[in-house]
Amino acid sequence: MSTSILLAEPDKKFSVELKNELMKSSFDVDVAVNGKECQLKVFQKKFTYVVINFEIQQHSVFEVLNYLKSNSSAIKIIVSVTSSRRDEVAETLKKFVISSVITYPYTKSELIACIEVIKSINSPFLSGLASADATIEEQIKAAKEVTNKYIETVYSQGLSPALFDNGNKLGDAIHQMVMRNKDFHLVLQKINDYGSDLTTHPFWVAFFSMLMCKTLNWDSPRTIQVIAIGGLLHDIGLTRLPKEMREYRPESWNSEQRAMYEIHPKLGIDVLQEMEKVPEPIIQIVYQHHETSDGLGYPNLLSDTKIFPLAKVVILANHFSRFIMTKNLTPFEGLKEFIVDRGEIQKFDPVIIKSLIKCFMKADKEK
Amino acid sequence: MTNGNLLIVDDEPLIVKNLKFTLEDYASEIFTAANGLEAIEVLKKETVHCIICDINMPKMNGVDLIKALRAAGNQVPMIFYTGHGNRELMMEVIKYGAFDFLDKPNMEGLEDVISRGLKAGFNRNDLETPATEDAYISEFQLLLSEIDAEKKL
Repeated sequence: MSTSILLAEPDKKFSVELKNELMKSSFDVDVAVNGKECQLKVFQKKFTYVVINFEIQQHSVFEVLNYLKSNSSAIKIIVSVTSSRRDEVAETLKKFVISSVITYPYTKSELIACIEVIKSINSPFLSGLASADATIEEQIKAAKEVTNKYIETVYSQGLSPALFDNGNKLGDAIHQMVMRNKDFHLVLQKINDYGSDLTTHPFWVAFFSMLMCKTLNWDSPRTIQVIAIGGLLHDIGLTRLPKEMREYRPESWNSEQRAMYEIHPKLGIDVLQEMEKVPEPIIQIVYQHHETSDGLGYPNLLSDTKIFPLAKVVILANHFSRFIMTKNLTPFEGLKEFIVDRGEIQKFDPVIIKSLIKCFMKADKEK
Repeated sequence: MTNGNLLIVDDEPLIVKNLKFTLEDYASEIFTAANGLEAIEVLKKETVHCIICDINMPKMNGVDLIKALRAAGNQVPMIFYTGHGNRELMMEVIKYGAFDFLDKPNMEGLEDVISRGLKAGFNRNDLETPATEDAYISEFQLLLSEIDAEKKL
């Protein structure tokens, strides 16, 4: 299947000539001369790449980028700009997830080289996911392995904007898996190879968080993005601790080690703030993921009414995942033990606990 | 969906106008205020189920507004929108329980966040006396028994 590109350039002569060149190399190319036409073409057809000129008119580049973000988040966006404005544009567009910036005017070779760089960044993680027609068990297994690889990369290399973007795409892929399969409850009831290492845990946190959001009907694209990447990266602060402190072993810690571990939510914010404009809800999920409704969590002893609602989902998913791992239980066994433990349930919002239980139930039973 | 009253607090008239236009189908009524002090006056007279608020405002900013409301026992969901350079203010705001956050200028997810905020604020007013832990455990066990029954089938 050929790669499809939409060239959104005001200079039609330029874009048509480039289109003809690219089509000789088996690319499927279309052109748009203004922002409105660009949006219309994206609405009508699925493109892999959109190259959009920063100076496009009749729907500005910002309007088009917002549209693409909300309606076609899988499209890879390349912004073209004259060399004199390149630095200014890079600064202005930091809040948008664009794959690359290319200097205008560009040749076919330059555009293809740009696309190859984007491909090399994107392929390592998503290509390992199972297809939609695989069994649910196979899909979960593949998603867990891909997430493990992603987390290992983040923990070893540090979090870069490109890796953050990869996390968004991975989160989106896990969400699509959650939404298209109706029988997760059956699989959750039967899982017995939960896994217990550092890189497995973020997958389960993101996965349970998204399942809970599904039962809560908190499933707008923005909420899912926040929950997914917040779940995957909630422990990113651990990368700033000594390696021996990254594994969760509270039973073996002294008070000094416990105090060190308890600053990792704050360290997580430090990591995220080094990146360009991470949305505030994600920062708050990372910061609050060890708060508890009884006001005895850390780092801020926030009580139930003060905890960020989306963080409550990740908080419970995080705790539940740890609960299962440390007691070496299956998820269903863990659930049965967890919900009758007063000491446990008083730490969490009962609405959120109910949403966790409902993940193990058939969907029509929720009504 | 119209469900609940919204208060927009911002000192920039154009932002208030745009928000009001965008959200008119999401709330029963929309009130506005140019700063925290005006917001407090509105809250004395009107029932408000959700507030969307800028952080930086003259006379009384978003941080002082949420502090004042929480001190008065008002737990109305408050959504803050933030621009660059407001880190310290955001860290202050979360101590008083912000419902959600939106990033300026595009405010991605605005309608969804407002819908959830209004629903939370509306349902908050209808809350009965909170259930005891025993009641919650019973409810949870009932749900588990349904799962067990399902498994046997």
